[in-house]
Amino acid sequence: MSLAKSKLPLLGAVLLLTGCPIGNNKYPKPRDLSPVWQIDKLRVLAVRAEPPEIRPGETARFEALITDPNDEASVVVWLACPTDPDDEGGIGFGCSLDAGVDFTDMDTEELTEAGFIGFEPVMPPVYTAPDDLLDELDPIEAAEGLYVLVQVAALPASALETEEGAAFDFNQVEVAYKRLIVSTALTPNRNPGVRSFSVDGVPVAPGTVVEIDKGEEYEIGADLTDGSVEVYDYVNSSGEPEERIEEPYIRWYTDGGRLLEEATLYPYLQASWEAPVDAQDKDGNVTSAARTSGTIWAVVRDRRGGMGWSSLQWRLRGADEAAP
Amino acid sequence: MTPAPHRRLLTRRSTALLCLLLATPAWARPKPADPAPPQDAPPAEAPATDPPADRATETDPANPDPNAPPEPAPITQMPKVLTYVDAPYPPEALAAGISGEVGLQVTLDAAGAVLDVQISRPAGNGFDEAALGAVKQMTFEPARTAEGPVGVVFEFTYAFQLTTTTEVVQASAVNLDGRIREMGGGRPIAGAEITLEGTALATVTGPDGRFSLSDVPAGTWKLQVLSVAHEVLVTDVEITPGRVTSADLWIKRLSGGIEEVVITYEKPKQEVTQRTLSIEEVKRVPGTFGDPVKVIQTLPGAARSPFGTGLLIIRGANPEDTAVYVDGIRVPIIYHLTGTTSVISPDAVQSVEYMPGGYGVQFGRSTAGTVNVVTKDEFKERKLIWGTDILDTQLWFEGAVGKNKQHGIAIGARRSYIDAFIPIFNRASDFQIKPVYWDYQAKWVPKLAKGQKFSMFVYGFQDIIKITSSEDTATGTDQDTQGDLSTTYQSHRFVIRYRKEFSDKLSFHFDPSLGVDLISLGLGEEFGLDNWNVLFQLRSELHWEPTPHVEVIPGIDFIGGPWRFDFKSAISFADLDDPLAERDPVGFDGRGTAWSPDTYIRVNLRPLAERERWLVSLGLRASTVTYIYGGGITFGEDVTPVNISGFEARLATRYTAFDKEGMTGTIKASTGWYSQPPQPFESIGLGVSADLVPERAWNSSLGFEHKVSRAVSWDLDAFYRRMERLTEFNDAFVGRGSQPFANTGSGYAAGFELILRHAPVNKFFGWVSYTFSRSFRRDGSADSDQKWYPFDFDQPHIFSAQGGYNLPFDIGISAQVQIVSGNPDTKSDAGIYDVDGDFYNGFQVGDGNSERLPTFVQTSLRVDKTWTFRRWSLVTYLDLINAVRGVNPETTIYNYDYSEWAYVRGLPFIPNIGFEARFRP
Repeated sequence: MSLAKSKLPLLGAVLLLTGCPIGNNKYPKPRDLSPVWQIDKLRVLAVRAEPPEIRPGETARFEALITDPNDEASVVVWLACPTDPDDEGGIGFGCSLDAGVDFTDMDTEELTEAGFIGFEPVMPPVYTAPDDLLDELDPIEAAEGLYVLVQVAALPASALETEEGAAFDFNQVEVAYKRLIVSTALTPNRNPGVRSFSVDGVPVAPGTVVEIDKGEEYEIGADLTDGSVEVYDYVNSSGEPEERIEEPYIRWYTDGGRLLEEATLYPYLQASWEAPVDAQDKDGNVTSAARTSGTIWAVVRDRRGGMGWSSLQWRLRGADEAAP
Repeated sequence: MTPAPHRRLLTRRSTALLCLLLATPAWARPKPADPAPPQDAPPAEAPATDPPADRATETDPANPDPNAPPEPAPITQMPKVLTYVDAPYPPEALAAGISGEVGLQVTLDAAGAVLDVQISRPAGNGFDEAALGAVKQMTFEPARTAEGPVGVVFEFTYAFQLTTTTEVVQASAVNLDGRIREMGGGRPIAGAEITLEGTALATVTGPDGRFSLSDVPAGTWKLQVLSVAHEVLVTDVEITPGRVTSADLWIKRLSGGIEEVVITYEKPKQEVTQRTLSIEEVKRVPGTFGDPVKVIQTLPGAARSPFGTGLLIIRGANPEDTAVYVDGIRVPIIYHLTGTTSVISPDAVQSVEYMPGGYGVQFGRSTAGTVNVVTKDEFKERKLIWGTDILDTQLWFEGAVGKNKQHGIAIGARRSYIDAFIPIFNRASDFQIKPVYWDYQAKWVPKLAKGQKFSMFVYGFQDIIKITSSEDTATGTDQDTQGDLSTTYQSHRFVIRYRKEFSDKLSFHFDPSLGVDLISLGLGEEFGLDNWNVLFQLRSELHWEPTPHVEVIPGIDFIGGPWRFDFKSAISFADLDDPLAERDPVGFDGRGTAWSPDTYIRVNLRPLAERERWLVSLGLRASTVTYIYGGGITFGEDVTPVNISGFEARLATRYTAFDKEGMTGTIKASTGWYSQPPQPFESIGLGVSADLVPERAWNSSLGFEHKVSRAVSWDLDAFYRRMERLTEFNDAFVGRGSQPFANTGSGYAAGFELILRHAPVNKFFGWVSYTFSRSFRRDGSADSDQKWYPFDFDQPHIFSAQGGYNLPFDIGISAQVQIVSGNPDTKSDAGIYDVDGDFYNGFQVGDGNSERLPTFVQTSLRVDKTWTFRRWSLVTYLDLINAVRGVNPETTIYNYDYSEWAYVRGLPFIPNIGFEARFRP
């Protein structure tokens, strides 16, 4: 028997072994994790305070960008609590409520006193900074300001309709935090915004539903509103005043197709988006990548607490308008 | 033609035959001419303390001494004649026209020097004296076991043969000559026996491998070449009348013949245990890239390190608790940052001392294990080695140069090229990981007068790991963090070793070194840390044996030098938690010096008459380190130096309980204190002097090792380590004016280790090791309510099995299986969105490290084939690392909101193909 023939079983065994990964499908792979741009469940994408910075005694109104691919009605509970200046911006475990208090019997004023600032859809969130909020700070600290933590909890309205005695599913609740700056700063911040979109460089009029071809790649551009890139004063750690320019960025989301960039930095405010294709997952369900219409959201942040957003509607060319 | 003179021609032939009386390896063949009966004999010792005559008496097989010293390991290489001396033919025998054979018992020491020669089979007629005188002048290459050169006693036959003729012959009657060389480089084979079948003609090759035979009758004869550790060669030679036939012959080394030995699990004899592996085993363990230092990770006590890290995790401890040395000089890391290979070329390595615990006081500043890589210091033969695999390529040259080969030199270098391949196989990714490493070694060993040794060794390495992205790709949402992530690690050492033997009882060791370490970390343009340290190290010892039973070794282990770092960041530490904080770039530097002059004294006691049977080793070590700070780290304040001192006492013993014909059973135990100063960065107080003490561990072990047969042995060790004063983050740290770290942690580790080994005998080698180990720690002071939790690398079950088999045609196969408990893990299952920072904060489930990653399973296979040519040899191999492709999670990652998780997989399937060519210029 030749040497080559004698080694054939060995080589065969090696090839067999190398072709059979142990436990390869036992655990999820990193590439299977949902990307941040994919809207496939109830999400809180952004929270805007208007204005984003207030002085003691002033009022800020809040709005949250909440998305739900099922377009189900949602309930949003808002809380607010000033933070300890020593926390240096950390949010910890958020606003704490007194667990022993029965909130169901409280009136609006009592709820506000307990920290509730809104209950949508019935009570729009509003927060008024106490006049004495910064009294314990020296002037320099007061100019830097204090954070008021604003906590948002969103859940599908149907989640509250659980049968009596059934356990509440907290996994359906989306919780987010935002910092509202209360200060005596001379140049308070303003929210940036997205004015309009472009598709492959062609401006899209507000409210237009863009018709796209399935599987095609498009470059989606965003145009910021005037004043979105602010110039502001800052006193650095050496005590020297500096004039700084905001560096905003856009976070992109979609409920259909595929975004190739999830965030783009100013001034490069375009993202590549691949239109949906007819696709099904392994169970035969139509995936989000196969939607025939949907939305692209662009959330702009100025990194100073200001933010804004807008959305672009799209529909596959020739698709039934009523189809998802 | 001028007729030749009529004269009486005496043809003298002497035949030297070696037959070891000691252990005979399976591949060794008895000489047909002299099947000397085997006898037992111990290795030769220093003649002053252990004269050969006494030794012969002690090892009489008919009267075995129950207190005989342990039998040495099997002989893997017989002694070889280096310088053959022709004995003068005794005049009286010449006059009488008689021949004779003298049997001699030769005692060699481990250096190959002839200690003693005794006549075992006298021949009289002046032959005995002549043979005795000749053999005493001969030089030998020593016999070797897997543990290195050993002394032996062997039978040597010196034959005198006289042919008397009255025929008219040519003045030169040699009509067959030739030379025997080893395939794979052409090394001349001395001491090979040459015989012509069907005749009484025979001879032995000289040191240059040459031989000659006279008066070979005309015709075709079968010439046979016999040499220990080589295949038998039989070839036809044709003798033509009136002509000299020359035979230039090449013989092949047996595959079991071990040329070099690397000890990968040897502790110095003063230590508690001693295990050895040969280079043949080491190079053929799949998955180790032929690196002897990597093989440590298959041995008991060593935990599995995460893929690509190269960490050394011993007995559950943190990696920084294990110290790494090269020739006794401390180095910062021993593996390249890829974790695949060590920073010292395998060709430079003589041995690796792996000590998971219980080591002596000569090694300090570590509370867990110690690894000492010992480099070669003898370069007799010239070798040029070129090795290449999928990771890197390396060149190595060693040899003796200069007049009388006075200078042994070695020089080698290695460079990786995986950075060039990764982009080819990973084109779709926006990010590319590009690891690059290179290392170099150069050594000079001049020959000095007897009793002195000197060497100069320069080595170094650089590792660069870059994570790059294309220029138009934003990495994250922050302008300040755009750019490439890069890590550079560079280290160089210049080491001098000097040994002076004043007498058999007193010697002096002096090893100074100078080194520099450079570390640079960077992220784009905005974040960076540059650090350099200049290190002067000195290890010096005096070895004094006032009596054969007492050895005293006082020593100095000094390390110190200046250091400096520069740090810059686009965001200050204080603002890390605040995504809305105004970016206020910070930059500061630190500089200073660190000095650590440790002293120690070891006393080795061997109370019994048989010195090696019972060893008690005592040690005391005084440790101190002084850090002096300057630069921005002091915030302009006058910070007094930080002095951290400790004292250690250690005790170890081993006792051979029984020894039946070399099958030994040895009990061993150790206990003692081990300490290490806090890491340099932990010792920094922000504007104050840090108040810290050394971390301390009390290590104890108890074990038993049993040599079951010449091939099979097992070794069991149980260990316990209690850790105190562990340095951890200081709860009282408030920034400037306080110290970030404090000695408030504690911990313990316990377990046992078992290794079952089959030495490379009968074409098979292998070992199975299993370690059970648990290690826990607790943060905060002892009276705090903090819970105990596992160390990050707590791996309860560590199983490793590897083995290899030699097939015909110089083909070798080997396999390795590793099954190891997954590392502890801390799980998160929910996240809360920080809208301003645009990230989710994960919420931890349960206590820290309360979960565990899945079991690590790796199966690797290797096939190699050796081609041996006359001047060089070539080994080609296919190494299928993780051949069964275990998933092997290394850590858990989550999606953006912690609602989904996945494992980052570690060791991938690596089909490593490579070759190693060895030339002997």
